[in-house]
Amino acid sequence: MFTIARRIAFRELRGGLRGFRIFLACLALGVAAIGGAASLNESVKAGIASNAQPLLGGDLQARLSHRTANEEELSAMRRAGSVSYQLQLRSMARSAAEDGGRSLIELKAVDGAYPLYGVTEVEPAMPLADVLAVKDGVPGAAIDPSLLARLKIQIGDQIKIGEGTFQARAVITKEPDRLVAPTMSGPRVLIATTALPATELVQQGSLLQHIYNIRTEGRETADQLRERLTRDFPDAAWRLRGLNQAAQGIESFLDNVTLFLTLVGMTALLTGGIGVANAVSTYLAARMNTIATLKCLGAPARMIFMIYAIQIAALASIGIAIGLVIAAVVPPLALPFLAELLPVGGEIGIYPVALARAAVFGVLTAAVFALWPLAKARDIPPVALFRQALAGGGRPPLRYLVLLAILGAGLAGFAIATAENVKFAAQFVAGAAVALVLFRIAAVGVMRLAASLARGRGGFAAGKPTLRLALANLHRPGSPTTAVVLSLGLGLSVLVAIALLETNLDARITNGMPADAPSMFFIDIQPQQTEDFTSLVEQVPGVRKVTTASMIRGRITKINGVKAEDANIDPDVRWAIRGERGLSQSADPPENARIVDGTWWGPELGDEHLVSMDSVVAKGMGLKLGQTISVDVLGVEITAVIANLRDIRWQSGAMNFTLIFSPNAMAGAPQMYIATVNSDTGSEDRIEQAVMASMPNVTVIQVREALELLRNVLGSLSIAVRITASVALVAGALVLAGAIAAGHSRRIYEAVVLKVLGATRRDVTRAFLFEYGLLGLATGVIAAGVGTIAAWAIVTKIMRLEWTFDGLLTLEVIVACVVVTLLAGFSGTWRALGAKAAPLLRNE
Amino acid sequence: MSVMSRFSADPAAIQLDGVHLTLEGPAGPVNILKGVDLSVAQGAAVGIVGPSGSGKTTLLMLIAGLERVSRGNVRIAGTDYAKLNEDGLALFRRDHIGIVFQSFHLIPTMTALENVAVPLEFAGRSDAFDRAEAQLRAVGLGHRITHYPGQLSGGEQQRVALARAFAAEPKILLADEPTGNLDGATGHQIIELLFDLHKRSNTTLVLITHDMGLAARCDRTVHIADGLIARDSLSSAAE
Ligand SMILES: Nc1ncnc2c1ncn2[C@@H]1O[C@H](COP(=O)(O)OP(=O)(O)OP(=O)(O)O)[C@@H](O)[C@H]1O
Ligand SMILES: [Mg+2]
Repeated sequence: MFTIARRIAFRELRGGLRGFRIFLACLALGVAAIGGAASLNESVKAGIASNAQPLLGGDLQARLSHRTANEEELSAMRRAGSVSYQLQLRSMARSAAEDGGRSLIELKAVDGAYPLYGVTEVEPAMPLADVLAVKDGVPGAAIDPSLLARLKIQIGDQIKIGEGTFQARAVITKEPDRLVAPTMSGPRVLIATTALPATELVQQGSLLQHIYNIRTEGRETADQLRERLTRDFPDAAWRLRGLNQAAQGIESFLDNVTLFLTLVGMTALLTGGIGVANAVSTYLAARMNTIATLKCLGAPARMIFMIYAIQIAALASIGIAIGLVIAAVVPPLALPFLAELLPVGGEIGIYPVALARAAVFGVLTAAVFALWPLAKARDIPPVALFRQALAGGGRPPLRYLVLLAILGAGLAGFAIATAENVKFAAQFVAGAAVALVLFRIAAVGVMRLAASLARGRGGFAAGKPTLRLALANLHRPGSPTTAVVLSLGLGLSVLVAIALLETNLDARITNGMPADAPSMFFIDIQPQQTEDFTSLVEQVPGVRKVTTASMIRGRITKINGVKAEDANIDPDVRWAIRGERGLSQSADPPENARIVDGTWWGPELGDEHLVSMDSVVAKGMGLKLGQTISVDVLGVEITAVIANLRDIRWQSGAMNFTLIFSPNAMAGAPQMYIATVNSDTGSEDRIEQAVMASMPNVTVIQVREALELLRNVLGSLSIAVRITASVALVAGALVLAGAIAAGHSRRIYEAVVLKVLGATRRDVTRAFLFEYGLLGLATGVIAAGVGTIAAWAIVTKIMRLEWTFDGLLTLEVIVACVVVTLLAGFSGTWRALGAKAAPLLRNE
Repeated sequence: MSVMSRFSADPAAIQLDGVHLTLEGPAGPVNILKGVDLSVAQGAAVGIVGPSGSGKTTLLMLIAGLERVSRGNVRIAGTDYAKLNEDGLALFRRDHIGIVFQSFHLIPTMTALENVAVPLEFAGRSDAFDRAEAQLRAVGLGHRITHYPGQLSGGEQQRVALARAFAAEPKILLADEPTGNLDGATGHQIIELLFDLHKRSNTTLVLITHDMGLAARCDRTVHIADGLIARDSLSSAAE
């Protein structure tokens, strides 16, 4: 039976692929989006992997937060090979000239061995050692090019960092171990470690990292070295990083981007799937006579199913193959656009796993979406030949519904199983399923509404036959309504959601944070400076409030006695145990504190150490009042009993600490102070100037500048977001075009019949205008609604920001949807207007 | 001669003078009509017969204004088609011409009632649906008005088409083998209805048929052969 089925199948395909352009395009687009995103990710990761040594700065890296390595540790490292020491901290640089500028910088002090791998390139070209050397009593610095403008200096001018003076001798054009582009953090300044003490920036408790990079020289592998260091110095409290962790900081960023791209790819595939279903139904509806004839000639239903399944499978293979070819060339095409954001270029190549995964997605999607129309075609009765019946309606037999459920579950399962972030993928699949159901319901609603409006006599459309025809075409069986609402609606709602998200983020940046949010942050204030700092800043006009708090660096080690690594912690609050965080101590509750459980400690503290904790984090860690939490501060473990829980609104932008200890707990721990200042807009520069003049060690962060930095990052990302969202939209438009093309001959026929009955070209135009206009309007309204709800949920529930509704944007989307639908409709229908009546009316 | 005298008294319902039609076929131009002169008086019934491919349907299309002559002149109810553009022709059809086809040509997404109401609605008649319903009753389909074409038998569909063609009380009714797709008994019913409506409303009827007996029921029978009128005879049945 299979051989016969195959023979008949291919005989029918000889007619060519013309009717399948949309089918092919839909599948190809989805496969290309998913495969392209994954290939891009792998190519970037491969790029990072092959540059791992320069990126890490060695074969193994040891990081210490509070101290330098001692002699014993150093010689243990040196036994494996060369060691390079560097120190990173955030600080301020300012021009030595009176009227010069200031800027937040990422200061990096390096020793003579730096870099162990790769080269630091500077402009004007010279060896790094010459740049950093002391000349005429002044040490040199290599600076990020952006600092020239910010500090209003030229190469050769002097700059001040902390208490030290440097000559800006060259700009950095390439820093081998720089992970993040300067647009995404602060501008870099490179100096020699020997010049660092003069800055007086290194103090007990400063936020800085001592980094030792080791290049192994054959005596030991990096793994062996790591093992030896861990074994010989169990209490060193250093963090060791190997080559596979070279890009740790940005890998999760990359994964998030990939995840996002994949999700949009899946949306495209889903939308394309609807196009597939539509194309298959249209094709099979046109084959109705053939199918009925085949049945009359004795072909069993199974044979019919097989014939068309073979055809669809053959065509799907072509579509998927086209998609894979496109996916394979995505990395070389897309990488130049990402260059700004990535530390290294991607590795151009073919990534079979990524492509195979996309192919599986394509196969499953084609199967899921073609099955229903195929199963229905199987049951076309032979009498269809004799009775002119409308296609559509009916439900395939149960067996096929079960198969459909299995395939659908397979598709969802595969999407979830192969995702890097399973939870997110599961949420997407659930969301997509809900969205499909919602859009389906909306489509049915639109059709019902059209049906009730179309009702002839005395109804809304009475006396307007063109309007009635349009309404009838929206709800007749086999109408494009469902397909268009589902696909274009889906793509469009993604676009609406993204646009509204951006609008909201933009609004937060330009309109500023909530009114009571601080405008400036100050860090690295030494304890003895706090009082002077407060009185100094309070004198600057425009300052409304100065808040200071002590900050101690510490790491959560135990949760109610259980080691943090072994504790059962909700992934949402896992960040709290990762690395060091700022802790605080205070006798009094912070001004903005909202204590939701327990009470603040009084002035009389016994021996017991108490702590006040963020209620959300406590919940995520399963902690209750009276239980304990332990932190490591400079190697000393401090355990405190939870005295109260605070509800922290991080989005307010005000200074907040997850953990605030009672003063007795932190007695003796080295601390720095940080401060927030609320001030009138425009006074920031004055405040900064005042502080810098007398406390050069203090680092200033203007909230506005930080937000601008964030916007830069978002700006680069939003291009990618827009590209991918438009892919989903293109898929929707394809489905629209397909759905409209499918009705082409029907429309020409209707136009002719209307003309016979005395309709002018205007009447016919009006009928089409109504049909497409109403379809576009319904789709646009539904998409705008769904997209707005999605964006609102993300902004208010996930980002926990204030919501701004952009009505104009929503209106634009609706109008655009109507226009696009009208254009698509008329581009396929224009000919129908001038169609010659006679040929269509002759007897067959 | 009597034909000519009626013409001078009153403009003829249908007046064709030296009508030629040439269409581009796949193998070059095809001369379909090669000089047809025909004059039909208001209220007359004309049967058109002739071999397949002789040009009968083409002639009907010209009379309906659905096709334009290559040469010659078409004047219907005193109106010269050459002076009307496509939309003018559509409006003219709306007001003066009803057509019935062999394969019905109903709009599948509209009920029987809505199909019949369409031309009335185009004419802006406020009583479109009432008239449509009355017309459906007149063809014996009062119980089928909310059915869609797909839910009707062939004979019923043709009766809907007939009701639609008659709904606006056209001066001229054109029918192209209206029973070609129907069995004998059903066809007979349709023909009875057709002649009945024709008689009652003094409509000019042009009926294309293969059935000589049917043609003989008309006042006149026009024989077409190879794009020309071969014979034009008064029927014996006519008074
Ligand atoms: N669009 C066209 N282009 C070229 N030739 C055409 C076209 N339409 C019809 N013809 C030819 O014109 C001739 C007359 O066709 P017409 O349909 O008028 O014949 P008819 O007398 O109605 O035949 P029948 O009795 O089979 O219905 C036929 O030979 C036909 O092939
Ligand atoms: Mg014919």
